[in-house]
Amino acid sequence: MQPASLGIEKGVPILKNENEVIARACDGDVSAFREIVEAYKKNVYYLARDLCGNHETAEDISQDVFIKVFRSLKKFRGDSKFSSWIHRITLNTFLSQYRKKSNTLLREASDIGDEFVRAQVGESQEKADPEQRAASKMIGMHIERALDRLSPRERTVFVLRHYEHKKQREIADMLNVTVGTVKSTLFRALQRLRSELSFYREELGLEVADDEM
Amino acid sequence: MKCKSIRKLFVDALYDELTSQQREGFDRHLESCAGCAREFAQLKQTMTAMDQRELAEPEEAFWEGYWNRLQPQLEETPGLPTRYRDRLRQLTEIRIFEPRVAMQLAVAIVLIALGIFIGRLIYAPDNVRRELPVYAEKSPDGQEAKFVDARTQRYLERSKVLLLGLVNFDSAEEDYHGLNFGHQQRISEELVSEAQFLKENVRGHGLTSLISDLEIILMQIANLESEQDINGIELIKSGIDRQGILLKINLEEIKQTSDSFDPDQQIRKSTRKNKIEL
Repeated sequence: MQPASLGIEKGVPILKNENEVIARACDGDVSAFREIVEAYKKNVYYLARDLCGNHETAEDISQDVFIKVFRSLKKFRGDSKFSSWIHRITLNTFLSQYRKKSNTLLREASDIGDEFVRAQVGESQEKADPEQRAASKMIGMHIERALDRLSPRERTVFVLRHYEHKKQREIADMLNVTVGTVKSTLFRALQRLRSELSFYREELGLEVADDEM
Repeated sequence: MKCKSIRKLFVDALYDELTSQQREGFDRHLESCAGCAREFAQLKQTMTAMDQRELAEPEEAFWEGYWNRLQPQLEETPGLPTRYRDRLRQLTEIRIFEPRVAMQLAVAIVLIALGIFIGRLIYAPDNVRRELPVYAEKSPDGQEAKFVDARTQRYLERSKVLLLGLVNFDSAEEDYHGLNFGHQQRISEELVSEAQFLKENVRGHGLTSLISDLEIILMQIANLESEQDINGIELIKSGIDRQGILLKINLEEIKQTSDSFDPDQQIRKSTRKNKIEL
């Protein structure tokens, strides 16, 4: 998985002379807007991919984000960081698509497994034997299925904390809620994931049984 | 602390966000409460299991084509001024500057250059030299310098005519007859042979370097498969242009002409004439 360390977390602007480039883009300089896209495309795509879990939807979401940015760039007042603004647009785009399309947004279980296996195979340079690959595929399916069981908000909060490594305070700012809400949403998400994954305890190597819970 | 208070700290504990004081109380409670300890351990394992999520990385081509896929959608923005739309199109049309395309072009050029170099190294010199008439003969009457100068001038003159014919050849018109390819190749072979003699005998680094550069180009011409090898011809033409070969020949010719003008000799001639008149 692509780590979310493209500069945003450390407060380092992704784009050099960001304010100047944004100002030029606001004035209708299309090449400046392209600079913005080139600088942020990976950041937006990886966030979208972590949220939705598949490549095609992630690209759709990321392109929707840039279309929205293009159309509303003049509304960016600079109250927050530009990266935060783009992230917020990404989250809102994901949530609105997720709610609209519900189940069809996320890929079929078999596709999940295939993509998961491709990632595994790529990293291990196809050294894994067929049995290992099949096991990896199953684990990938279980994880995506478990994430599918979360509500859009639970999924968003969990992904932001777990895969994007955002602090609870940052998540609260991004979603415009309190830290307490983030904490309780995250707790619910973890409990639900635990419950979903308990069916696959053996495959996932979970040791602590929950029969006494 | 009570179990309810401890459960509220689970998330912070899982993500290592407890203060040291909270951590102390939290750990102490887990040691004495099996229920909380089990639930916490399960949540921790759940997190570890979720860490195993890995998604495939898009290939580089995906990123390179990203803007080109986005641009048509931007164009559809309602009320977008025409000048923005035109500029968007321009930005997309400049595809040659995309890293992937540039890389492909660079690789193609390197491969062609490598092919020519290897071909020249393995086949050309021996083949060409074996079949060529021997021009490098000793000069008569010991007038070595004059003899070399004359041959150099002749060599440059013939090379220039040959290269001009090639440079002016328009491959788009495909007028191969006008190129007189077979004749040009024969001349090239002769000149390659002549270059061997001149390189050993001419003085001056600039002239030697020019003759060497010319030799390579002439070898390339001599080794062209046919007059229809447009890529090869274009490559040679670009080499002539890039190295400024024709300009260097002109400069060398000017230099040779001025060198042949010897002021002392002119004065001597003039004095002798005056004496005769006297």
